[in-house]
Amino acid sequence: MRTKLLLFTVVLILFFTGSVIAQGTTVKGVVISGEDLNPLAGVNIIVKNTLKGTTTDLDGVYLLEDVSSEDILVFMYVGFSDVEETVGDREEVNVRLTPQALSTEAIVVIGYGTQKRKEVTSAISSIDEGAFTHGAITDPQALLQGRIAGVHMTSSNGDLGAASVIQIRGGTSVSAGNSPLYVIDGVPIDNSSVMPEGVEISEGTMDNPMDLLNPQDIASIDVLKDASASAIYGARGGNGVILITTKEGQPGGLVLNYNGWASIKSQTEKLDFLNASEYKSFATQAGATPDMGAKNTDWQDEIVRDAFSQNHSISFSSGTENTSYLVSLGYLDEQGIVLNSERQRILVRLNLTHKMLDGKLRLGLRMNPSYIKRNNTPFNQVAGYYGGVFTNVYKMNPTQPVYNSDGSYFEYPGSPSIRNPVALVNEIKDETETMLIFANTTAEYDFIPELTFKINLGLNRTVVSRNTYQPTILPYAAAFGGRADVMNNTRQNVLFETTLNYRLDIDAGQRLEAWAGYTFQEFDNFQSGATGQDYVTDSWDYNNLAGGANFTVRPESWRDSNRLISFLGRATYSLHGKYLFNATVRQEGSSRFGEDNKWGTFPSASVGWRLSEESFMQGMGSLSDLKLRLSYGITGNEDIGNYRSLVILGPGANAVIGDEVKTGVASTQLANPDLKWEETTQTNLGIDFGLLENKISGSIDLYTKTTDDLLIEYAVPQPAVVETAIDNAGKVKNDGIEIMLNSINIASGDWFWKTSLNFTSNRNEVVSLGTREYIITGRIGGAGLSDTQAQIVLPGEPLYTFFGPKFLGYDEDGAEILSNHPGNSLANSGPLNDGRFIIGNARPDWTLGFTSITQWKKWDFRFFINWVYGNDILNNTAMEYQRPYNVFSGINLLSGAVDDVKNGMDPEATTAFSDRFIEDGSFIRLQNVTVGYSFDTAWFRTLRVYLSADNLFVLTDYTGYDPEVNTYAEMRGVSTMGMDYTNYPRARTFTVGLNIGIR
Amino acid sequence: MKNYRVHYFLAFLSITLLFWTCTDLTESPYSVVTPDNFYNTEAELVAAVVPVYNVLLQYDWNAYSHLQEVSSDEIFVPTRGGDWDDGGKWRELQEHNWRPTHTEINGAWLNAFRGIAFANSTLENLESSTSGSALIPVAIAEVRVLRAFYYWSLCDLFGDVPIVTTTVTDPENPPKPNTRQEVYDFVVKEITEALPNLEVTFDAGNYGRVTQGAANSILATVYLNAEVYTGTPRWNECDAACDAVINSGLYDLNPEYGDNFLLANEGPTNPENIWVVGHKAEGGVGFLLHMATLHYSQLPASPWNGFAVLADFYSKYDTSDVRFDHMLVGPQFVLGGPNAGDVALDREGNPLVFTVESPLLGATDANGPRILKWEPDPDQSGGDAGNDFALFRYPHILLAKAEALNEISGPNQESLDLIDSVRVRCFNPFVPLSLDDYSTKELLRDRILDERGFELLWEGFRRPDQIRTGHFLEAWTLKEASDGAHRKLFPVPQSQLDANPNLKQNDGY
Repeated sequence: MRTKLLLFTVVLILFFTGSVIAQGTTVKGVVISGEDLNPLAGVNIIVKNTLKGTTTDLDGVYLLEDVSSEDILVFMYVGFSDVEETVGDREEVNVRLTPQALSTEAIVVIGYGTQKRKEVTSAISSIDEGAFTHGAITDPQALLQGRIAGVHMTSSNGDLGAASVIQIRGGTSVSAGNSPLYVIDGVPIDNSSVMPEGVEISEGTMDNPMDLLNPQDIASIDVLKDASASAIYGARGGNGVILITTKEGQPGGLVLNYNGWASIKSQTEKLDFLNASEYKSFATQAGATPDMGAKNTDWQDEIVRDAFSQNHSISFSSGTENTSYLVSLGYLDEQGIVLNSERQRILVRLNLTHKMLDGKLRLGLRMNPSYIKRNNTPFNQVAGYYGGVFTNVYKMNPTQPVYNSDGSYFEYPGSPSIRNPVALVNEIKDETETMLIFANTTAEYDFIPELTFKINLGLNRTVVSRNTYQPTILPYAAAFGGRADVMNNTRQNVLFETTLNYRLDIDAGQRLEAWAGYTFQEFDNFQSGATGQDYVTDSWDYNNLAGGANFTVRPESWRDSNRLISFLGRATYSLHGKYLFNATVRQEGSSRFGEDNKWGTFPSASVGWRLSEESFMQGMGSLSDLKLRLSYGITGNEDIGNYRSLVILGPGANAVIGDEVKTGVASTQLANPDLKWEETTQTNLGIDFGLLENKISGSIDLYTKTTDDLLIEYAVPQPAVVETAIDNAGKVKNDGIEIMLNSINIASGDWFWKTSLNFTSNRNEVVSLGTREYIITGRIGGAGLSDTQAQIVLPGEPLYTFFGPKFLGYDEDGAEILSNHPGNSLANSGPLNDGRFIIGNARPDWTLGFTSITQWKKWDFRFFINWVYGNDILNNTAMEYQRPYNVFSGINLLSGAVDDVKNGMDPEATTAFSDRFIEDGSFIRLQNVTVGYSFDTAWFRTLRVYLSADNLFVLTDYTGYDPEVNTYAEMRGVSTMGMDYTNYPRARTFTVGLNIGIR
Repeated sequence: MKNYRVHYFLAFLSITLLFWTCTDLTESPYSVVTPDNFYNTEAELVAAVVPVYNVLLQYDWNAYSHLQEVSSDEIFVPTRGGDWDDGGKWRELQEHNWRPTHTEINGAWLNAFRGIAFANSTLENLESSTSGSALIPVAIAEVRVLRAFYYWSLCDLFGDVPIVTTTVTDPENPPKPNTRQEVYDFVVKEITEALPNLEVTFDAGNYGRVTQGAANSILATVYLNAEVYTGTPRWNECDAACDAVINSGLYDLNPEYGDNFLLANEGPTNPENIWVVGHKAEGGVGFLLHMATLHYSQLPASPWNGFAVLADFYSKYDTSDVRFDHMLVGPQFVLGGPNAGDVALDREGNPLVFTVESPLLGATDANGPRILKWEPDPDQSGGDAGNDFALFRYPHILLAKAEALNEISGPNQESLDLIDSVRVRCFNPFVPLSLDDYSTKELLRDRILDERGFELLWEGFRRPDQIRTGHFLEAWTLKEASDGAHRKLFPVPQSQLDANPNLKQNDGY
C-alpha cells in the first residue's frame, strides 16, 4: 500500500511538472470498428518510434499518458488497416478503424496447429464468426453453405436436423465415402448418421451428428482443400478436412453474451396435385370410376402447419492472466412444418484453459455434453411401396375427407396399402433421444522455450435410442396388432495423441519449425434392437415390449470397431518472410486395410513466394499483398467400411428344417489381404492477392487431383459364396478453379459496405473402373419401378451421370415410346447398346455464393445469395404421380398427367423412367436477408435486434419442392446425387432475434 | 526452487508418453465369425449344412420360378398402370424377347451357383471333419444331392455351365464351361452315388432334409427331360426312378386336392409331399406366393397384385375340376385378417371382380385370374407366410411315369390309369380317360402336358414341360411365336460373361 501511495505521488508530481512545462499530456479516446461502429477491445496503440503504448479495454477505451502534441499514435488491430493519428492539441483522439477484406495477419487453423494467413502455402479457406450466415441457424454445417469456393453442400431435404451432403472439390469415390473429415478442436470425429434404422414405414432422415455442436460456440471454421493442407490427416485427408474451433474465454472481466431468436416457418412450394373438381372431371374424361367423396381436401395442406421455433444461447466468459473460461448453454425448441415433427435440444459447453509454472505448463479442457429429443416424421424414401406420410399425401383422393363424420380417420375401404397421412403423422410415435459427451483435454509443456511437448486426449461418446410404436388405430397396423420397435445405438471414439514441437529463429531472416507426433484413435459402434407385435392395447406405446404376443421379428445386435494409428511430422521454413516452405508426412495404419497393406505413407510439400515483399514489387501502388502458392501431396480415403479385407462368416443363410428356423452360418465376403485406402494425388496452384491496403483481397486456386485405387465391387466368377468382391481398381479425376473475392466497397461517413463472392467450377471424370465396364446405380422408388435405376458410373463420364431411355412420344395406342423398347430403332444403340443413353448429370457446372453486408449508422443489412447452375435432377416423385393411370387406382395425380393425356397419352398407359423426368435443377436462392439495429446504451456492450428471412425465394425451373435435394438412392454402396423422391418439404423462415452483450 | 521437481516429473512423463506407442492394427470382428473359430462342434457342422438349404428358398418364388413360369403359357405378370412395369422385365419373359442383361436371368444363375458354392465349402469341411460321427456320411450324401439339384437347374435353364467341386478357384483362370451333356452326366452320377447313403425318411425335427425319395424324384425329373438336355431319351431310367419312389410305399395322394395345401397338413404325416422347402412366417424364410398374386385388399399384409393365370390356360380347365376352383375369377372377398369374408374392393373403391382376360400392358388391378392353392396363413408377418412349398409332389412322379410309359410303348392303358389316379379326386362324378380318345402317342403326350399343367400349376414345371413336348416356341395368349429355337435356353447373364471371360454366350444371343 505504501509503495502504491508513493507511486501515486510521483505520478502526480510528474503530471503537474509536465503540465507546467507543457511537455506531456494525457490522451484518451475510443476505438471503434468501421464496420459496425462497435467498440474494439484489445487494439494496440503505440506511440510511433517509441516503446510506449497501451491497449483498449472491453469498451474500446484507452488512456495514454505523457504524450506530446507531435507524437503520432499508431492504432493496430488484426483484420483492420493501421491508422496513424498525430496528437496535436487534442485530449481525446477517437479512431475508427477500417476493416480489411481479408487480413494477412489473421490466424488460420491448420491441421495440428495454426499459422498466420500470410505464411500459409496451401489452399485453406476460413470463415470466422463475423462472416457466418445469419438467420435461424441451428447446425454448424449451415454456416458453411455457399460460403467457401470448392465446398459444395446440398441439404438432403427440409426435415429438422437433416444431414447435408458436403463434398470438397468434387466427388473422389465411387463406393467409399465422399465426405470430408471433421475435426473439432483437434479431435477428428465420425460424422456419419447415428440414427438407428429398421422401421419400414419410417426410415426417416439421416441425422447429422454436428447438430450436437452449438453454432454460437464456434469461433471459426477452416477448410483444408489441397493435399498440402490435408495430407497431415493422411488416410482420411482425401476428401478435404473441415476444422472447427470453438471459442475460448479471454483475460478480462466477465463477458456475457445472449443470442435469442424466435422464428416462424411455413411451406414454400406445393406440388401441383389435382383438386377435387379437377380429379372428378379427369376421372370422367378417363372413364374411371373411383370411389368419390364430397369434400375438397388438399392433403398437402392437411399435414403442414406454420411452425414456431425458439432458440436461446447464453455464454459467460472471463479470465485472468493464467486462467480463462467460457461456459455456454444453448436451448432450441424447434418445430417442423409437418405436424408433430419437432425437437428440443440442450447444448452445454465448458472451455477452460489454465497456465502454470510461469506459463511453461498449459492445460486445456473442453467439455460439451449435449442432448436432443426428436419427434420424427414417419416417412421413407427407399422405394417404399406403401410409404409413409408423404407417399400417402400424394396418393389420397382429394374428394375424400380427413375425418369421417364420427370423427374417426377416413381410410380407403379395404385397402391397407393406402393410408391416411394425417393419421400417420398423428398416431405413429417415432422418437429419438441422443446424448453426446464430447470431452478433450490438452496439456502442453515447454522443456525449453523452443521445444514443446503436447498431449491431447479426446473422448466422444454418442448414445441414441429410437423408440417407435405403430398403434392399432391405423388399419395397416391393426393387421398385425400394433408394433413397437426399440433400438439403441452407441458410438464411441477415443483419441490419444502426443506431439513435440521445435521452433527456432535461426537468424533475423530465417525461421524453422519442426513438429512430429503420434496419434491413436479407436472407433466403436454397437447397435441393438428388438421388436414386438400384437398388443392388446395401444396405451403402452413402446414402453412394454413384452406385452406383445408376437416376437417373430428377431432381435438384433451388432458391433464393429476400427482403429487408426499414425506417425506424423511437419517442417516449415521461412526465409525473410518471402520464401515459405512446408513439408508434411503421415505414416498411417488402419485396421480396415488388408493384411498386406496395413500402412500407408502420405507426404506433401508446398512452397509460397510473397512477391509483395520483394523490393521490385514495392511502389506497385495499389497492390498491397501478393503471394504465389504451389503444393503437391498424396492423401487417402480410409472410409471403406470395417472388416472388408477379411473372410466373413455371418448368419443369415437360414433355412427351415423340421418347422424350425435353423441358423446357417456362411461366408458373406471373400478375403482381400491387399485391400487398402483410395489414394488421391493433388496439385494446387494458387495466388493470394490484396489491393488498396487489402480493401480488396482474394485468391484464385487451380487444382487437379487424381484418385487411384478406388474401391470397386466386381462380379466374382461363379460358383462363389458371394456374388461380388471388392478390389482397389478404379480411378477418378477432378480438376477445377476456385475464386474468392472479398472487398470493402464503402467505408466512409455513416456507410460501410462489404461484399464477398466465391465461385467454383469443378470438372469430374471417371477414368477407370478396373475390370468393370460400367456400374449402374441410383435406385428409383415407387410402384412398378423396382429394378429401375437412373445413374451410371461410366469411364469417360463424370460421376452422378443420369442414364436411361429417351422419351420419343406416344404411339397410336397412347403408350409411351421409349428408346429402349424392344423393336425401337434405337433399342440397340447407346453406350451399352440397350437403348439407354446419357440423359443428364447431377453435378453443377458451377456454383456461386454472394454475400453483402451493409452498415448505416446503427443499422445493418445483409443478404446472401446461393446460385447453382447446370445440375440435373431426377424427379422421381413426378415419375410415380404424373401418371394418368392413378385415377383408376383411386389415387391422386399431378396435373402434368392431365397435360400428358391432352398430348396423346392413353390414360390407361403406364409411365416408365425416361428422360422426360430429368429436370434442370439450376437455381438462384436468396438464402438469407437480415436487417438489424444496434442500440446505443450505457447498459449493454451490445444490444441488437434483427429481423431475418431464410429462403425468401428460389428462382428455378424445377417442378419439385426444391432443387436442393438429395434422396438416398445408393445401390450396393455406389453413391448417387440429384434424386428427388417423396421428400420432406422445405420451409421459408422468418426470424426475429436479439443479441445482448454485457461486459 | 521446489518447482524443479515438478519440471523433472513433467519432463519424465512427457518423454514416457512420447514413447508410448501402439501399432496393433488387427481387426476385431464382433458380430461375425471367421473360419478359424468355427466348425468345432457338431452343431456348427449342422449350421454349415443349413446355407446349402437356404438357397432352396429362392426356388419357389424367385428368379428360378419366374423363369420357369412367366416364360410359359401358364403365368404372366401384366403391367397394371404403373405397377409391375419394373423396367419391362416381366413383359420380356412373357413375350420371349429377354436379353442377357435381364435381372431375373442373372438372379437364377447366381442363386444356383451360390448353392453350389455353399455345398462345395460344406463338403470340404465335412470331408475333413475328424469327429467320426455316423451322421457325417449322411450329411455328405445330402449335400451332394443338393449340389446336383442346383446343377440340374442350371442345366435346364442355361445348358453349358462350369462344373466346379472345389472351394477355391483360380482367379486368374476362372472356370471354363462344361457341355450340357457333361453337366447332365454329373448330376446323374452325383445323385446315383449319393443315394445309398441317404436316409429313407426323417423325423419331424429334420423334415425338409433330402431323403432317398427326394433324390429319386430329382433323378426322375432329370431323366424325364434327358432328351432335351442330351439328345438321348432316358424313358426307362425315368420309369425306374419313378418306381423307386412309388414302390417305397412312403407316398400317397391326399383324399382331396386342396388338403395338400392346408397349413394343418404340413409335416412328415402328409404323404403327398416328397420334398418341401420349409417356410416360417418370418423375414427371410417366408412363403411369398400369396403376396405375388393376390389383390392389395385381399390380405392384411396388402399383397402385391402381380402374378396371374393366362386366359387360354384358364379356359383349358374342365370347369367341374376342383383344381379349377383354385383360380380366382369374379367377385372377390377378403381372405384374411379381421375383415375376412368381406367383399374385397378394387383400387377405385368398387367391389373387386377378377376378369379372365387381361392385356399385358395397361391392365387394371382386377385383370387376370389369380391362384389360391396354398391356404392363407393367419400368422402371416409382413408378407411372410409359413406355408411349405413342395418341390416334388407325388402326382408329379405319377404323371412322369405315365409320360415315360407313353414314350416307351404308348399310348397304353397303364399311362391312362396313372393319369386317372391323379384325376380321380378332382371330379365328381369321375369319368375315367378312355384309350379311344388317345389313338396316338402324340395325343396322349399333349394330354399329359395339360394334366401336368392343371395339377402342378405354379409349381415350377411348366417351361421344361412345354420344351420337352415341343410347345414352348408356339404362340399363345399375349405371345407371338418365339423368334427362334435359342429361346429354349436362357442366355448366359451379361454380368457373368463380364466376370468370367472363359464363359461363352449361348447361340442366338
